[in-house]
Amino acid sequence: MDEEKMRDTVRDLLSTGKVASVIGYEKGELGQGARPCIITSPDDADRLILTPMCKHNLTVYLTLEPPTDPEKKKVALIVKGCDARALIQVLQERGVERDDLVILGVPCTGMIEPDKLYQEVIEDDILEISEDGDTFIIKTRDGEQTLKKEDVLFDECLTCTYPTPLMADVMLGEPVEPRGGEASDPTEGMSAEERWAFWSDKFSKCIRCFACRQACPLCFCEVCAGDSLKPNWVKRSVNLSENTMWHFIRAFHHAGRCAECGACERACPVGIPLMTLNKRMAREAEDIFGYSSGTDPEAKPLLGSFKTDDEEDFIQ
Amino acid sequence: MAEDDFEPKIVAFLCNWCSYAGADLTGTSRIQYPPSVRVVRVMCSGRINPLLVLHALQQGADGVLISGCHPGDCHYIQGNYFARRRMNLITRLLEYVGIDSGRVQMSWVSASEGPKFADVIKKVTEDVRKLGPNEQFVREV
Amino acid sequence: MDAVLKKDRLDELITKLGYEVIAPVRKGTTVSFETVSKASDIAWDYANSVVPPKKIFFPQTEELFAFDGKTIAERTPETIKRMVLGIRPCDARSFAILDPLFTKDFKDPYYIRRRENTVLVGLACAIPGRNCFCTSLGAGPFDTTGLDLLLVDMGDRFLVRSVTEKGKTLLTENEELFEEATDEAGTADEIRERAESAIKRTVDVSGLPEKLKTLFDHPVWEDMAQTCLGCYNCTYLCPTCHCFDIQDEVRGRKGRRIRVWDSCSNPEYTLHGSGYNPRPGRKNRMRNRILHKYQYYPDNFGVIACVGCGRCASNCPVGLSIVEELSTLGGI
Repeated sequence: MDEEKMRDTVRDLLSTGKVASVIGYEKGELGQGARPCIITSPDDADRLILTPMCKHNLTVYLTLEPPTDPEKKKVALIVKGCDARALIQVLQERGVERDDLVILGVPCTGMIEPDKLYQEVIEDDILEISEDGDTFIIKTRDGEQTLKKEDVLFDECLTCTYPTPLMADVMLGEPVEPRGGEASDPTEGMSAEERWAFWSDKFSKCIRCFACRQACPLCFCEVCAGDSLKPNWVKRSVNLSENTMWHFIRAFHHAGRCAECGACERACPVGIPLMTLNKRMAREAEDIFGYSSGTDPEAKPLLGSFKTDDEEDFIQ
Repeated sequence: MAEDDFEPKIVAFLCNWCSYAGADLTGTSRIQYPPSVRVVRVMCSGRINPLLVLHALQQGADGVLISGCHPGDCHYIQGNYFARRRMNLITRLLEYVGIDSGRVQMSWVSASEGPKFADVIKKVTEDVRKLGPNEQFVREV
Repeated sequence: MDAVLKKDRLDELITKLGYEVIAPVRKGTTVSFETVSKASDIAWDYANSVVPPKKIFFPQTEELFAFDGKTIAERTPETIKRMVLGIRPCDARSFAILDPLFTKDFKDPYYIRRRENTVLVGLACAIPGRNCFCTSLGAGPFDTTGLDLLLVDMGDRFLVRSVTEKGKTLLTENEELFEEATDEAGTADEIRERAESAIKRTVDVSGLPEKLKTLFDHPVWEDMAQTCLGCYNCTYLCPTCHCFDIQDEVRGRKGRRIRVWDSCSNPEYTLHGSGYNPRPGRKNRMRNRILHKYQYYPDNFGVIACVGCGRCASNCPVGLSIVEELSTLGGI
C-alpha cells in the first residue's frame, strides 16, 4: 500500500474541488492503531495513513444515514479488497450512485488483529509497522521485532478471496494474489444438538447493541427489521428467543449480499462468531445458486432474481 | 424429545389460487387428514416473507408448511420462483444453527390435487411429530 | 480494619455465608459477571468485564408485572442475599453515582432492594487496563467508594480492608476464617503506587461541567460525531449509563410489562409519534450523551456520571476516545 501516493491523490482531489470530502484512516488513540477519519481540507491529507492496522470497512459511511444533502457532494473513499466488494454490492442495490464517488483502491495483503499483535508487543512501544514478504517488522522503542503475518492477521484475511479491489478509480498499489483456502468452522462435524448448544450459547451473550448492524455497509434498510414496530419481529426484551430471531434476520438478510469483510464480528463487544454464520450463508449462495456477492455492479441481487430450474432438493 | 401422542401444531401458508383451492378440494372430497394444520391463506407463495416462517416458529408452531403453485404455473407467473429461493436458504440457515429443517417444508399443490394435499399434511405432521415439540427459541410470552 | 484471607479458605467463606455469589468469570476471550458456586470459577486476573456489573442491580430485561386477562401478578423485588466478589473499584463507584438517581424522586424498589441485600467486595487493580482513566475522576485502582470490603491480591492470600459497617460486620461475624494482617499493608501500598503510575490516560475535568454549559451550539460536535456508527456499545457498556424503556409484551390477553435498557444513541429514543425527531443526527445524540454525563448529571446530583473505566473507548468499533473528546472540549 502506497501511503504517499494516497496522500498526494487525496490532496489533489480536495484542492481541485473534485470531491468535497475524503473518507480514510487516521492514527488511532487506543490500541486500535488506526481509525476512520473524514476530512474536507487538502491540508489534512497528511493526517491520513495507510498501514496494516487499517481494518475498518469505510463503505459503511456511504450508507450510514439516509442522504440529507440535496446537493449530493462527491465523496472519495479508500477501499481495500473486501471493502470494495461491499461497495460493489451496495452499488448493485442502488444504495449509492457511482457518479457520486471517487474510489481509491488499496490492494491488501491482510490487516493485523490488534489483540493478536498486543500479545507479542506492548502497544505503547510501537513506533512503526512495515511489511517484508510474509512477515511484519515492528519497530519499537527497544528495537525491532519480526512477526509472521499468519500469526497476527485477522482470520478473515488469512482466507481472503478478493484482496485487490474489483473497482477503483485510482489503485494505490500493485495487485495482490488471493491467499485462498477455506475458513475453519468451529461447528464442523457437530450434530444438530451440538450445533444448537453452540449457537444458543453464543446468542445468549448478545446484548443487542447493534454494533454488528451499524458497522456493516450492507445494513442500510431505512427501518431495520430489528427495530420495526409494525410488524414487530423482534421484541425489546433481551433473551435467547429474541436474540436468536435477531441473528436469524441478519444472517438471512445477508445471504448472497455479505461481502465477508468481518466488520460485524470485529464490532461485536461480546465475541459472537458472526462471520462463521455469514460465511456459511455466503457459501450456500455460491454452492446452490453460483452467486458471489459484490463482484458485478450490474448483476441482479440473489433473492431478487431466479432461474426456472433452480435447485429444489430441499422439497421432499 | 419425541412423544408419539403429541399433536404438532403446523402453520400452513397456502397460496390462494392453487394450494388453498387444492386443500379445499381435499375437504369437499371428504379425504381425512391430521388436524394438526392451521391454514393461513395468502395470495401467492411469493408473498411469504421468510421472517414469517421464523416468527411462526418463535410463537410456538412446531412446524411450518409453505405451499404454492407448481413452478411454471404460478398465477402471478413468477412468485413461486422467488419463494423457492427464499425457502431453500431459510431451511439451510435453520439446519446450520441446529434447528431441524424438517420443521419447515415446502410443497407444490395445485387446485386439482386434493389427495396430494392430504398426503403432504400427513407427511409434514409425521415428520414434525418425530421431531417433538418445538422448544428451541420459543418466545417467553 | 485490615485482615488477611488465605485464598484456599474462600470456598469456606462462600459456603458459610450462603449468599449468591456473583464474580467475574472468563468464557472464551470475554469476562462477564456470573453466579459462581466455587472460588475456582473466578477469574482473578481480569482487567475488567465487557458488560459492567450494573446488570446485577439493573438487569437488561426486568419484569415488573405479569397479567393474564384476570389478574395482575406483581413481581416482588428480590430479597435474597448476594455478594459481588471481585468487582473493580471503578464499577463499585458507579453504584455510588447511580444510587441518588434510583432513590431520588421515585424510589426504585427493584434497584434498592437488590442493592440493600448485596455486599460489594472489591478487587484492587494491580495492573490497570489500557484505557483506564479513573484517576482523572477522583477515583483510582484502590478507591473504596461504593465498596463494603476491598481485597488486594497478594498471591496466595488477600489483604482484606473493611470500608463500611456492613463490611466490618462481615469480617467480625466470620473472624475464624480470617487472619491478622502483618506486613501486607506495606506491600499493598507498593502495588497501589505502581498501579496508579501505570495509568497512562489522563484528562483534566476540573471546570468541565461549567465549560460544557457554553458549548451547546459549538461546531465541535459535528466533527466529533463524524465517524460515530451510532451503535449502542458505549451506552450499554457504561457502568453509569442508566436510560431505560418500559414496554408491554402482550399476546392475546396475557402479557407482561418489562423494563429494558435503552440507548440515547438510538434515533428511536427521541422519535416522536408524529415522525419528528428532535435529535435527528449522530451529532445531536453524541452531544446529548456527553452533556448528560458531564454537565446535566453533575447539575442534578453533584457528581460526574463517569468512573473512567474506559469501556466505551475500548469497545468503540471506530476507535472514538472519550478521553480525547473531553480534552478537546475542555480545551476550547
